[in-house]
Amino acid sequence: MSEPARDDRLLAWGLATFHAAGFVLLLVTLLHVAGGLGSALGSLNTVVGLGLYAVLWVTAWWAARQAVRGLRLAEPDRPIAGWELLGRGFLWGGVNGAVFWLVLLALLVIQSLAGGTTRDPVSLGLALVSFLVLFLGIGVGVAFAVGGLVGLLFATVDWTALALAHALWRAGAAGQWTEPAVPARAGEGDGHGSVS
Amino acid sequence: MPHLDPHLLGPLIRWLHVAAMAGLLGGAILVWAIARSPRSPGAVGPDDPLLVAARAYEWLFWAALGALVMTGVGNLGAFGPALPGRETAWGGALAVKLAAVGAFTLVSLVRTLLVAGLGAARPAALSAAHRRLLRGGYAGTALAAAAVLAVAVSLAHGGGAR
Repeated sequence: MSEPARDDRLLAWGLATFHAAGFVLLLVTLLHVAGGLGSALGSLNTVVGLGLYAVLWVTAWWAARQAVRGLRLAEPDRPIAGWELLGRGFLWGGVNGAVFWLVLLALLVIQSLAGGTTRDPVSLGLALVSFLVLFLGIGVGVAFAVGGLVGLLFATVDWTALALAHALWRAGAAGQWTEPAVPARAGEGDGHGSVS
Repeated sequence: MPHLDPHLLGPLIRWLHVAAMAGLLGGAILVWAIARSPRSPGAVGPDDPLLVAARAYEWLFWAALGALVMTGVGNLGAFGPALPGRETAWGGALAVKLAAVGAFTLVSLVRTLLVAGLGAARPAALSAAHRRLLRGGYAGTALAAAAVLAVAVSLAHGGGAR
């Protein structure tokens, strides 16, 4: 694997976990401040909650890898493709939202099928049509829009963080923050002598 | 829905939470110590032990942070509706912890992007200034993690009147 590809993978891993963990942290903080955290968490099965977080983490990683592919964002000596990042953030954030919604829906369907009592074909047909229209059609659209907006928000934060990291790299490469020069010993001329 | 024995699940979640924090904090101290130690002659560019350790730590850091958030929410879920509100001393401390973790996560993203940049830049040699920057970054990471840990320990032991 080439060096830039390796560092792009690290970048995607960091961004993806930042997105998943940041999103959950934001939700939990808002709920806590609003006073509804205890009841919201109390209504959620622990195993299901952990599983949904894991799904969000995996889909966020996949989406982040797609979003940064080819942009070479890790390379600090290149200009940041910020507007491209924003566009892809919206697109892949939306896809992530839709995929997460579909996984959630699949879990609900499995649960209702496992605990279902009706065998009436008409009721089953009506339930299927309303499921397709409401949850698959409208639900996926709403999930895409919400995911896209969240993705856009996080892409803005990513752009800012990248700009900061690149500025730090440039300042370091330009020799800023160097410590007072220490006379180099014989055979030591690489600047290492400044390390305390 | 899946149902596991809470007597097994609770300790498992808490164990993972503590293990993730230990890795995050211990790893930051280790990379800081590497950044302080003299560089071996010839170990430059991508082979620089500091860059190798920093890159490995960044992978571990985000795995640990993701696990910490996941298990942290799981720990809060164990309270259910009995979770103290933000108007209580405990709830106020929790709000402080959540805000601190959010800020820590944001600043850590910049550190990770810097490490990725140091590996991807051409040439990939670390200047003395870069080394000093990383040393400060990992010292700050360890201190911030220790501060969050102190609040977490306080919360786990009651953290004032509920």
